[in-house]
Amino acid sequence: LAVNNSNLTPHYISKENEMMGFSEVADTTNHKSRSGWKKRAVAAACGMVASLALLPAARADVLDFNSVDIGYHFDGDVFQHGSYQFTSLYEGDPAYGGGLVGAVFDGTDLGVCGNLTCPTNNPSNYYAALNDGLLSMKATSGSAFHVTGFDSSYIKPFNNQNTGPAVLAIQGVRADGSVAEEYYSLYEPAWGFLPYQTSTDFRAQSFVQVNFYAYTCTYSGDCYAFDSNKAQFALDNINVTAVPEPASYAMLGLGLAVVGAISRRRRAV
Amino acid sequence: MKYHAISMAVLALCVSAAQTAQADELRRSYIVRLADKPVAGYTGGVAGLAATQPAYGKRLDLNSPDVKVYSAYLDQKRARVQSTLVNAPVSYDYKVVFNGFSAMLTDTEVRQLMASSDVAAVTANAMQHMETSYTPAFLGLDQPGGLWSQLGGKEHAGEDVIVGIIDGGIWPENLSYADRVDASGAPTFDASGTLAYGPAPASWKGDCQTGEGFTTAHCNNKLIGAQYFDAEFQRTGYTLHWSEFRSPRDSIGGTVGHGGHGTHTSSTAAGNNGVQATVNGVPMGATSGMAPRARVAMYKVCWTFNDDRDATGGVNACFEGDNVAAIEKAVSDGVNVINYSISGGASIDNPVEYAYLQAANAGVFVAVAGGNSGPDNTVAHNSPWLTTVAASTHDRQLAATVTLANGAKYSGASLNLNPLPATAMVRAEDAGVSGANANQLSLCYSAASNGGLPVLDPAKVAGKIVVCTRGEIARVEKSLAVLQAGGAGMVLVDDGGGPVADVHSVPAVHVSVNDGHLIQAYAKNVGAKGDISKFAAIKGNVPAPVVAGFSSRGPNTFDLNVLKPDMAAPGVSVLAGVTPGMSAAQHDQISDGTLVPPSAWAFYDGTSMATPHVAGLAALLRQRHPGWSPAAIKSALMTSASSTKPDQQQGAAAGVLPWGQGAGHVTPNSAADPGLVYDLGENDYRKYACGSGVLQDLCGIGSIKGFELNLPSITVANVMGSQSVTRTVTNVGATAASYTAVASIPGYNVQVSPPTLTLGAGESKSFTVTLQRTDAPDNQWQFGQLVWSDSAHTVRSPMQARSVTAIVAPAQLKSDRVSGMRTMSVVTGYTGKMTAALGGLKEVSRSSMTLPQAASGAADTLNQAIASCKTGSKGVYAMPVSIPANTVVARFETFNRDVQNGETGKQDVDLLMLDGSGALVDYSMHVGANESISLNSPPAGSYKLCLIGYELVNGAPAQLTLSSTIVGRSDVGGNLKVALPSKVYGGSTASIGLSWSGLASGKRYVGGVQLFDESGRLGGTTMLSVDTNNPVPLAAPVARTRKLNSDL
Repeated sequence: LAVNNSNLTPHYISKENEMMGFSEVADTTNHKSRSGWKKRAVAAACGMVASLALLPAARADVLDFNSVDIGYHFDGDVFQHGSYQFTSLYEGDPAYGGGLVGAVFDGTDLGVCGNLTCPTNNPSNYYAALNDGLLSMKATSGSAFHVTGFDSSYIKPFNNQNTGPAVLAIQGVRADGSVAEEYYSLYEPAWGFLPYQTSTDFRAQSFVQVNFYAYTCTYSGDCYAFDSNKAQFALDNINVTAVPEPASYAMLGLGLAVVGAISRRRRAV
Repeated sequence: MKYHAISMAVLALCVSAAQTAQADELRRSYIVRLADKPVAGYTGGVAGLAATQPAYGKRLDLNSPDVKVYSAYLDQKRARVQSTLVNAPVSYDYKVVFNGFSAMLTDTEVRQLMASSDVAAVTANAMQHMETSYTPAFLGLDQPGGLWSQLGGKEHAGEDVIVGIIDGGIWPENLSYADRVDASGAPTFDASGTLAYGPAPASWKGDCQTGEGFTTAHCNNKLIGAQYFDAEFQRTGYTLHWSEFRSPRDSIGGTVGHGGHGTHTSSTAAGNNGVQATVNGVPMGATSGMAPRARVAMYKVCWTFNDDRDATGGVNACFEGDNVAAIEKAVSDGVNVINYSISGGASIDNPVEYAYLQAANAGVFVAVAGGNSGPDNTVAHNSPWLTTVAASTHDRQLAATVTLANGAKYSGASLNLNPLPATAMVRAEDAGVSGANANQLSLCYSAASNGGLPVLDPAKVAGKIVVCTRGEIARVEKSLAVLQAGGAGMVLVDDGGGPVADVHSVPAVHVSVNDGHLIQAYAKNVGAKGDISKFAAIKGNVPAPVVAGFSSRGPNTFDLNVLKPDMAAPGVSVLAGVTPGMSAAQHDQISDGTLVPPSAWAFYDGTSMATPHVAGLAALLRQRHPGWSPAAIKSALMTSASSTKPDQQQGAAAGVLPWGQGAGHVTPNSAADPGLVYDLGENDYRKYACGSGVLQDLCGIGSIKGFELNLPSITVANVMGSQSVTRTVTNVGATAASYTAVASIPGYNVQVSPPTLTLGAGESKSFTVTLQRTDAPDNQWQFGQLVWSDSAHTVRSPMQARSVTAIVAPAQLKSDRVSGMRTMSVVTGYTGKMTAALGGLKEVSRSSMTLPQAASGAADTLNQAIASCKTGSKGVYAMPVSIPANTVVARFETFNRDVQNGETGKQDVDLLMLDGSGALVDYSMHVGANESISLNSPPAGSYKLCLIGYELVNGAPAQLTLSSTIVGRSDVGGNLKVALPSKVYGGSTASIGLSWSGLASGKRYVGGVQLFDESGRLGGTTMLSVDTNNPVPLAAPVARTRKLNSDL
């Protein structure tokens, strides 16, 4: 599988960049780093069925996780939040799976991260992707949506040997299965959650599914996504806008299909 | 979500303030640290307020407008927090090196403060003590001294450098603090003498505070400052012992009090050169401090108070609230160096350690005592910004010779004034009363140590030299036993701690282990005889320096990736000024100024005595290199240090290892020109503090691990495969130089890149050291070194590394929630699957009992405690404990709160656990009754838990409640679950989650998780401790003054 450092170079994560003002849009139709999961997602998208369900009114939402129960999330776990459905996934060695990949933490419990270092300036719930975990979201209705921004931070493991900065990848899946991807530097959890805005280009696009995952990088600038358990991040306040266009009606069934595709691996251990 | 719920927190404060007004709860002493940075550490960030931290190499100027404005801001915010504590008595406000205050608080107030965003930490005020292990009186010496003449005595050594001593006060009559000289150049207080010192340096802002037996006339141009701090002590409610002075004056010493320590440390660090010392009227020659021209400022914080458990009727202690106030004042006053020969500092977030972080930011070098609880792994003051000092011997031995009738001669430590002619000799083992305990007999127990029953038989001992073995009871107690049995002399056989010259009741020689065994073999013979000579001072007769047995050993007990202690310095048989023993009537005359008391000197042992050697040397380096930071001074002292000689300790306690000697024994002459220094500053410490996980409020500029600090030592607690560390050196030589590295450590391949460094004068360059594990066994520290050398300098750094087992998990996680989650990061040394077993959560069970006062000698040392526990004798309460198979965790605890009359910490209860074979499993023997023994994955079997009423109030039995929990895999509760990763990776980390729900509030629960590697081997166990009773912080445990090992 080996998703090491496919398309990241050190300057993306150097401190010379402005803390929040930088992003990279990679319009990748041949994105190679997301093998197993991506294949399933595309297959699910092709198998979608039309639905006659009522569309929600177009509106902007801030997904703050405060209404989501706190708890740990395993590979394949699904939860609803507002009009969106989230799936926590393990993207490492296909021979393994079912393990801990995320959590919804109560930020008022400052000890929740034990000997890890988490951002502490968030006195409410937030999502924590753990052990190289990926968080996938889509509208429950299947509609397309835009992502305009989110808050995030690195989550540092204990004894963080040879680990430098981290990079957050946000990947948008279009209705046709093609993918757009942006990267953001994640900073020390000690700096707390920082607000990120997606690029003008990215936010203009309509996606049927958006995935968040992280790379952990060495000080020499090599970044790795799914083979160390060290790629971890905190996520909150995802700014989304639903797209009430007819083309997206057809996406409604996608979420259910994907869940079907991945549920065979859920809690496989 | 919202950022920073300040408004909510303030609301909470107001609400709970209303509640406290009606509660009449017990108040305890706490130190509260507020969220804003103190003046010495403020680098900006509050809108409109400029940074106040001094620039590198610059001093803190408290009169600068920026400092005044920021101080006012801190005052205002502190007042706002204090306004919510309506009835809380406040002892001190702090703002220079520590932002906060100390106060007597109720549990409710503590909880309210802990919930406030204005508050960074609430710490229970701990009682510390001075780090002297023995204070042997000394009877005469017929050879002149000159102990420090090779180090001190320089005409201007320490000129205009200010050394602040935070200690037990000062005896101003000692000529070490005179500012005049007589016609011959010797120090004098006589007004007719010539003034030898100019006015205090212009930067000095301190005071000469008056009080009992101390007037402004006691200060002068040498002793420029003298102040005392007792607000926190006063809150304790203790009564000052009669020997004490409520003033900067050191208390009365000798055999009647506990004074002398502050005078000893200050005269060692910066006492005048050419002071004629006498001990009990016998001239000892001239003495000198390490930096004899430095100015002295005393900050008295240690007080002797009534306690009838001690023979003097008093004990001495130093309360942290007072200590922080003294540090704050010393830094404000403008001292350059602080000497802190006081215990404490196990964790870097301790208020004293925190205050010293800010002192370092202000450019103040701080030397601290490493502790006298060796050779156990008990090193104190673990912060990297401190210079932590171990004690070693010097090569001047006070020795006498025992000559056997067969002609063999053995030299040993002695203060014997009366030569003993050829006299019959007998082994203690052959001289017991009928039925005497063999162990006690061999150790020459006195009657007093054995419940009034003598063990030596006068019929076998009368008129003879008795060969006794060291251990368990005080050394001088053994010669007393010999005297009481009619013996004529004693040969004391060492136990590995190293011979000590004491004043004994009969002519005595303390010989080494090996010599002792030869003498014992000879003394078995019928007709054995020997004589003992008068003692003399002998140089070079014993290998020196050797790390003292009592010197607390590393590794660092807070962070295994930072070396502690840092270095060793002389701390055995150190001669310096003390206070005389005087009567209560004389005390009163001193108090009212009608008696000018005499001076006194004595030989003291302790890391307390080693510390001022380093403080004095730092003053010399500060004078030579005014621009050097405290870290640069420490680096120069460490990289120029030389190795000590082997001691008697084995394994990790061996004195020659970095855990014993740090970087080595200080070598002052080469420290002045070290070639390269490893420097550190504020930002490095902040990143480290942030990464440590206990000082999260210092975060904001990143975090690093201990091995990433630019220390002049390299310590890596876990090399999983390979580990690189980066260091930066600065050429402090006068010219450009080219250095070459040589580095090695067993079990690892070491690469230094680049292997050579060419640096211009003042230039800094970085290099990387990569350790690649080859054949280093699991879990065993390996020791090597890195040396950079050019033609003129050798810059040596100790290098320690270890590789641990397949899974390393934290020992404990804590929570106070009835439902909750705890996530932990474990280090994984293999690739594959991980499995786990759970136990609990299980409620802590409490059982009441009456604990008697243990007998004298029951638990003065660890060995005594083990022996008493094994047999259940001497009033020790031995309780059988069965640990079933598949036990995950077990914990046994006592608390001050759970002991009758224990709230003040005066009830000293100890815990000890033995396995079925009688071997020690663990112990908890601190001052007071807050004791805890935790066992992770203990093997099944029959154990014995012993509760020891070590010192109970009035010796009366006390009701106490023992909290105990044994959690097995079959114990289920609180819906405890574990979340494991799908796969783990070698040389990486993995996150693991624990969650629970539905616990009852107001209770305490224990659970645990065992983690197994792919082959099912147990890798690590983590205890989960959930206290739903809204706990308030316990004081940090304080080690006993009298150390636990058998080195008596």
